[in-house]
Order: sequence, then structure tokens, then C-alpha cells
Amino acid sequence: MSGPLSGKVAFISGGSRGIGRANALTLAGAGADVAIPYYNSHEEAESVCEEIRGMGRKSMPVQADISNSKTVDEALEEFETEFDRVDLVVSNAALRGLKPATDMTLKHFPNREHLLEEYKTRTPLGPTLVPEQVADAIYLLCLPESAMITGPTLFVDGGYAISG
Amino acid sequence: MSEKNNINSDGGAPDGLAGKNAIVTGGSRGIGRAIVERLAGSGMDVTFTYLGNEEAANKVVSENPDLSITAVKVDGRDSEAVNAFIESVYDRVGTIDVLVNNAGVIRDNLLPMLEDEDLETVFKTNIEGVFHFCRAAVPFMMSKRSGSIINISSVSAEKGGRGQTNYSASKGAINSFTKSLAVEVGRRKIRVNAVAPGVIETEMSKDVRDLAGDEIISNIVLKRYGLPSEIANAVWFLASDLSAYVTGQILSVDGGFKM
Repeated sequence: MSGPLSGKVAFISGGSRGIGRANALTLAGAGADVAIPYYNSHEEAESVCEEIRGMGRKSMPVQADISNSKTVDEALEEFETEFDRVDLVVSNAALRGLKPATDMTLKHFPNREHLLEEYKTRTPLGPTLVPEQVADAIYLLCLPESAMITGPTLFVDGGYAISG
Repeated sequence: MSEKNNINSDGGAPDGLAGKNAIVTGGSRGIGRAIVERLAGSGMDVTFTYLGNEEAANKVVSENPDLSITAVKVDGRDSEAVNAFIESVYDRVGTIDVLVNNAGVIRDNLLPMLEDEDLETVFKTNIEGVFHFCRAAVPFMMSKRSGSIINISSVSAEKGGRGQTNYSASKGAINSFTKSLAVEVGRRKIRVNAVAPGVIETEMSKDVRDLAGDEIISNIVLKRYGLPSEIANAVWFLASDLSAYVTGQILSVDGGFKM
């Protein structure tokens, strides 16, 4: 089975959970092979890779602390045992300890209630963001036809940023 | 929004466009034609408008016998004609799911040389036309609580260019219009975005490419002009379910333009 990303190899940091996971599955669904660097979510990473292999693509998890260039080099060496190229790099991993705004407590944000209310009332499309919606925007940027898109920041925010 | 592992007909992520209806203004040539073919190729029924070139418009239909494409002559500057056109499309196909405001003209000249007609033609076509088509189509989208509007802007909206005061002002207006309408209709689940092409290989940009090609290329990070199909791809994304949470955005497709 072929797709627009057949023959491409993607390297998706933080691909074991959340947006990264949705992104890994979307790109694999479009034909890409996927390597997933993870920090400490070994089981989740292995489970995503298994799902991708079930789709007939190559996929492997590689352990790395992306804040440490030495372990990234080691991860790339491991990556090279399976793959001879990389076409798509998605730097998705975020600082551990970040939480969805809805899971934060007053400890994280003294004005949380206020911020949540503002997000709800201000966002034109409403507070309904899910990981797949971000993954779909990344998918656009991975397509061969998007070759002339370079530089801009594509907001997937329901219009929050332009509405204040 | 796509369901994971659900594969589209071309093997890519599902775009949810098959069986839906689109209107594209200025679809007979260049970027507009590529947009018509991209959306129709995704299984949409596409009605496009043209103004001057009937032969080119008929070609778009005749050269795509397997796609659902209709050409209608409409002057976007005439609001009554636009209202009648939108109603006739709605009566024929039943919904207006996607509106692409692509029609635009260029009348470049240094400011002291610009005639009244150069101002009027550019503003009436490039921005008043967008008001007319959106005003006529939005009520149909509101009643369905669904719709996507894509306006074709330009890199000129943000970057200054000699001889482009009228054109860049009209495109800057499109960007502002896009953001305000996005806020106005977002609660009705209608999304409004723009695509801002850089220099694309079309008839319309031929003069400026002939005149200042080397200077232009030296300012493009990727060192080449864009293709109409590359703009059509960005429009396709914004039309589709893949951009379900994207609104009020100006998506540049310009190969990275430097000041």
C-alpha cells in the first residue's frame, strides 16, 4: 500500500505520547517509516512502534535525552542500524512536567481559573483542541507539495492568538 | 478531524472533502485553475468563476472530463451578480462547504503614475470582490454550522515592493479581513484563513519575473519560484478537515522570503 509519504523516513521526538504519537500514526498511515526517540516512556514508545509495524511500516523506538547532544548522537547511531536516511524531523518533545492547562493546579498557575475562562470565551472555534488536529498540521508540512513552505509558524489554536 | 489509521483515497490522511461543494473565484488560469483541479481531484464538486477568458475557462472543464467542475461567468465587483451566482450554486448543489477567493488583478506602477482606474480595478476586484462573495456565502454556511473560507493573499501584503502600493494595500486588506471574519464567524464553526503566495510561475507574475528575476530569486531562501500546485496544496489543507482547529491564519507559501 502506498501513500504520499511512501519511502520517507521520519524521526519524531516525543513520539510515544500525545501529539507526537498522533503525528507518528498519521505519517505512518501516509506511508512513512518512523523512528521514535523517547526519554523514559519505553513502553508507550514500543506500543506506538508496534502499531506502526502492524500497518506494514518499519518503526523502532530509540532512547535519548534530547537535551543532551551526546545521547542524541548515540540515538542516531542506533537509528542507523535500521535506517539509512532521514527525510522528516519532527521536534515535538517538550520539557517533562509540562501539563495540559486543564490539568494544572493553582500551584502551576495562580491565575489558572481566569486563564481557562479567558481561553474558553476568547477562542473563536471553542476550547476543543485534540492531538490529532496538531498532527494533521504537521502532516501538511511533511507533504512533498509543501516544499515551498518554510519559515512560517502555523498556529493550530482555534483562532485564540488573533482574537484578543 | 482525522481518525488515526484511516487512509484517504490517495493513501494520505483523510481530508473529508469527497462529496462536498466548493466555489473558487477566478478559476480559469494560473493559481485558480490549480486550486479548482486540486479540490475537484479530492472528490469535491467545484464551481468556479471567470470574467474575461471564456476559452481558458472552458478548457479547465473539458480537460478534466473525470472531475466535477462547472464554469460560470461572474463579475465579482458586482454584488448583485455575486448574490445571484451564490444562490444559483446553492440551489443546484445544496450546500456551500468551501469558498476560495482567488480572483485578483495586478496593475503595478510607481505611485505618481497610478491612474484612478488602476486603483479602482485593483481594490474592487481584490478586496471588494472578497466582501461580496463572503457576504453572500456566509449565511448558507451559518445555517449548516460548517464551512471553510480561504482567501488568496500575497507576500506583498507584508513585504514592501516598488510599484505595488495598490496591490499590496489590497492584499494587506485581505489579511485584516480574514482575521476579523474568522473571529466573527468562528462560533458558527466557520473557519476563515488566507494563503499568501510568494512569486509563483503564472502569467500574472511574468512581468515582474522578467523585470527583476535575479533580484527576486536572491531574496527567496529556497532559490526558486513556486508552482501553482504548491499554492493549491495549501488551499486544499485549509479547506479540509485536516485544519479543523486552524482559523484566522495567513499561511505563507513563498519559499522563505527575505527582506
